[in-house]
Amino acid sequence: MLKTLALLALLPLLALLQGCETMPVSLGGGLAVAASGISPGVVGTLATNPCEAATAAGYTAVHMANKQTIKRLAEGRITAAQAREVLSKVDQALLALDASCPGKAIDPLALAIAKRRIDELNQTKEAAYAR
Amino acid sequence: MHVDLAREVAKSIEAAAAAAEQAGETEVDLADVIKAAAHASRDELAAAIAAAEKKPAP
Repeated sequence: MLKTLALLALLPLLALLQGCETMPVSLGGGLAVAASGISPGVVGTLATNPCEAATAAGYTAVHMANKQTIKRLAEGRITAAQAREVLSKVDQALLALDASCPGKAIDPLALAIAKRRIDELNQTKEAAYAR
Repeated sequence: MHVDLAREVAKSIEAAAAAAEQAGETEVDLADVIKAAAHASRDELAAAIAAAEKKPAP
Protein backbone atom coordinates (compact mmCIF):
# COMPACT_ATOMS: atom_id res chain seq x y z
CA MET A 1 0.00 0.00 0.00
CA LEU A 2 2.77 2.40 0.98
CA LYS A 3 4.65 1.51 -2.19
CA THR A 4 1.59 2.28 -4.29
CA LEU A 5 1.15 5.62 -2.55
CA ALA A 6 4.81 6.42 -3.13
CA LEU A 7 4.49 5.68 -6.83
CA LEU A 8 1.38 7.85 -7.05
CA ALA A 9 3.27 10.64 -5.32
CA LEU A 10 5.90 10.53 -8.08
CA LEU A 11 3.39 10.93 -10.92
CA PRO A 12 3.19 14.74 -10.59
CA LEU A 13 6.99 14.81 -10.88
CA LEU A 14 6.73 13.11 -14.24
CA ALA A 15 4.18 15.63 -15.43
CA LEU A 16 6.34 18.53 -14.30
CA LEU A 17 9.47 17.19 -15.90
CA GLN A 18 7.71 17.34 -19.26
CA GLY A 19 8.63 21.03 -19.35
CA CYS A 20 12.12 19.88 -20.17
CA GLU A 21 11.85 19.94 -23.95
CA THR A 22 15.00 18.05 -24.84
CA MET A 23 14.23 15.22 -22.49
CA PRO A 24 10.88 13.53 -22.98
CA VAL A 25 9.65 11.91 -19.80
CA SER A 26 8.57 8.33 -19.64
CA LEU A 27 6.65 6.63 -16.89
CA GLY A 28 9.38 4.02 -16.78
CA GLY A 29 11.92 6.64 -15.68
CA GLY A 30 9.78 7.63 -12.72
CA LEU A 31 9.23 4.06 -11.72
CA ALA A 32 12.97 3.51 -11.92
CA VAL A 33 13.42 6.36 -9.45
CA ALA A 34 10.83 4.82 -7.17
CA ALA A 35 12.51 1.43 -7.42
CA SER A 36 15.99 2.76 -6.68
CA GLY A 37 15.98 1.80 -3.03
CA ILE A 38 14.14 4.78 -1.62
CA SER A 39 12.08 3.88 1.42
CA PRO A 40 8.42 4.24 0.36
CA GLY A 41 7.61 5.64 3.78
CA VAL A 42 10.03 8.49 3.21
CA VAL A 43 9.06 9.44 -0.33
CA GLY A 44 6.72 12.31 0.14
CA THR A 45 4.87 14.86 -1.86
CA LEU A 46 6.42 16.54 -4.86
CA ALA A 47 5.40 20.04 -4.05
CA THR A 48 3.68 21.57 -1.10
CA ASN A 49 2.32 24.49 -3.09
CA PRO A 50 1.53 25.41 -6.73
CA CYS A 51 4.56 27.68 -6.93
CA GLU A 52 6.99 24.88 -6.27
CA ALA A 53 5.13 22.82 -8.86
CA ALA A 54 5.47 25.66 -11.38
CA THR A 55 9.23 25.99 -10.92
CA ALA A 56 10.26 22.32 -10.58
CA ALA A 57 10.51 21.79 -14.34
CA GLY A 58 12.69 24.88 -14.66
CA TYR A 59 15.07 23.76 -11.93
CA THR A 60 15.27 20.36 -13.60
CA ALA A 61 16.16 21.97 -16.95
CA VAL A 62 18.90 24.03 -15.27
CA HIS A 63 20.26 20.96 -13.48
CA MET A 64 20.34 19.07 -16.76
CA ALA A 65 22.15 21.94 -18.53
CA ASN A 66 24.75 22.07 -15.75
CA LYS A 67 25.45 18.34 -15.90
CA GLN A 68 25.62 18.26 -19.70
CA THR A 69 28.01 21.20 -19.77
CA ILE A 70 30.28 19.71 -17.09
CA LYS A 71 30.44 16.47 -19.10
CA ARG A 72 31.19 18.20 -22.41
CA LEU A 73 33.83 20.39 -20.79
CA ALA A 74 35.52 17.35 -19.23
CA GLU A 75 35.52 15.60 -22.60
CA GLY A 76 37.04 18.65 -24.32
CA ARG A 77 34.01 19.05 -26.58
CA ILE A 78 33.50 22.67 -25.53
CA THR A 79 35.90 25.34 -24.30
CA ALA A 80 35.94 26.94 -20.87
CA ALA A 81 34.76 30.18 -22.48
CA GLN A 82 31.74 28.44 -23.99
CA ALA A 83 30.98 26.79 -20.66
CA ARG A 84 31.21 30.19 -18.99
CA GLU A 85 28.58 31.52 -21.42
CA VAL A 86 26.28 28.70 -20.34
CA LEU A 87 27.07 29.36 -16.66
CA SER A 88 26.09 33.01 -17.12
CA LYS A 89 22.68 31.95 -18.45
CA VAL A 90 22.35 29.37 -15.68
CA ASP A 91 22.90 32.10 -13.08
CA GLN A 92 20.25 34.31 -14.68
CA ALA A 93 17.78 31.42 -14.85
CA LEU A 94 18.36 30.43 -11.21
CA LEU A 95 18.00 34.04 -10.08
CA ALA A 96 14.67 34.31 -11.87
CA LEU A 97 13.44 30.92 -10.64
CA ASP A 98 14.36 31.77 -7.05
CA ALA A 99 12.42 35.04 -7.39
CA SER A 100 9.33 33.25 -8.68
CA CYS A 101 8.15 32.05 -5.28
CA PRO A 102 8.38 34.88 -2.77
CA GLY A 103 6.70 33.69 0.41
CA LYS A 104 5.49 30.50 -1.32
CA ALA A 105 3.17 32.52 -3.60
CA ILE A 106 3.62 32.66 -7.37
CA ASP A 107 4.96 35.90 -8.81
CA PRO A 108 3.61 35.63 -12.39
CA LEU A 109 6.01 38.22 -13.80
CA ALA A 110 9.05 36.58 -12.21
CA LEU A 111 7.85 33.19 -13.41
CA ALA A 112 7.46 34.51 -16.97
CA ILE A 113 10.97 35.97 -16.79
CA ALA A 114 12.27 32.64 -15.49
CA LYS A 115 10.74 30.81 -18.45
CA ARG A 116 12.35 33.31 -20.82
CA ARG A 117 15.72 32.88 -19.08
CA ILE A 118 15.47 29.10 -19.42
CA ASP A 119 14.72 29.48 -23.14
CA GLU A 120 17.82 31.67 -23.44
CA LEU A 121 19.86 29.11 -21.50
CA ASN A 122 18.74 26.35 -23.85
CA GLN A 123 19.60 28.47 -26.91
CA THR A 124 23.05 29.34 -25.55
CA LYS A 125 23.68 25.73 -24.60
CA GLU A 126 22.67 24.38 -28.00
CA ALA A 127 24.78 27.02 -29.80
CA ALA A 128 27.82 26.14 -27.68
CA TYR A 129 27.36 22.43 -28.28
CA ALA A 130 26.98 22.94 -32.04
CA ARG A 131 30.26 24.84 -32.44
CA MET B 1 14.53 11.34 -19.38
CA HIS B 2 18.11 10.36 -20.14
CA VAL B 3 19.32 7.56 -17.89
CA ASP B 4 22.25 9.66 -16.64
CA LEU B 5 19.92 12.38 -15.43
CA ALA B 6 17.52 9.80 -13.99
CA ARG B 7 20.41 8.43 -11.91
CA GLU B 8 21.37 11.95 -10.80
CA VAL B 9 17.81 12.68 -9.70
CA ALA B 10 17.59 9.30 -7.96
CA LYS B 11 20.83 9.99 -6.09
CA SER B 12 19.57 13.38 -4.96
CA ILE B 13 16.30 11.90 -3.76
CA GLU B 14 18.09 9.07 -1.96
CA ALA B 15 20.37 11.54 -0.20
CA ALA B 16 17.41 13.68 0.84
CA ALA B 17 15.51 10.62 2.02
CA ALA B 18 18.47 9.47 4.10
CA ALA B 19 18.84 12.92 5.63
CA ALA B 20 15.12 13.04 6.42
CA GLU B 21 15.23 9.62 8.06
CA GLN B 22 18.21 10.65 10.16
CA ALA B 23 16.29 13.71 11.26
CA GLY B 24 13.32 11.55 12.23
CA GLU B 25 11.14 12.93 9.47
CA THR B 26 8.85 10.88 7.25
CA GLU B 27 8.52 13.13 4.21
CA VAL B 28 10.76 14.61 1.54
CA ASP B 29 9.73 17.59 -0.55
CA LEU B 30 10.91 16.62 -4.03
CA ALA B 31 10.58 20.18 -5.33
CA ASP B 32 13.10 21.33 -2.74
CA VAL B 33 15.38 18.43 -3.67
CA ILE B 34 15.32 19.44 -7.34
CA LYS B 35 15.93 23.09 -6.47
CA ALA B 36 18.91 22.21 -4.27
CA ALA B 37 20.29 19.90 -6.96
CA ALA B 38 20.12 22.69 -9.55
CA HIS B 39 22.06 25.07 -7.30
CA ALA B 40 24.60 22.39 -6.36
CA SER B 41 25.25 21.44 -9.98
CA ARG B 42 25.66 25.14 -10.82
CA ASP B 43 28.50 25.29 -8.28
CA GLU B 44 29.99 22.10 -9.77
CA LEU B 45 29.93 23.71 -13.21
CA ALA B 46 31.63 26.87 -11.90
CA ALA B 47 34.34 24.73 -10.27
CA ALA B 48 34.82 22.69 -13.45
CA ILE B 49 35.23 25.88 -15.50
CA ALA B 50 37.74 27.31 -13.01
CA ALA B 51 39.74 24.07 -13.16
CA ALA B 52 39.68 24.07 -16.96
CA GLU B 53 40.86 27.68 -17.11
CA LYS B 54 43.82 26.84 -14.87
CA LYS B 55 44.99 24.09 -17.19
CA PRO B 56 47.86 25.17 -19.43
CA ALA B 57 46.98 25.38 -23.10
CA PRO B 58 48.26 22.39 -25.11
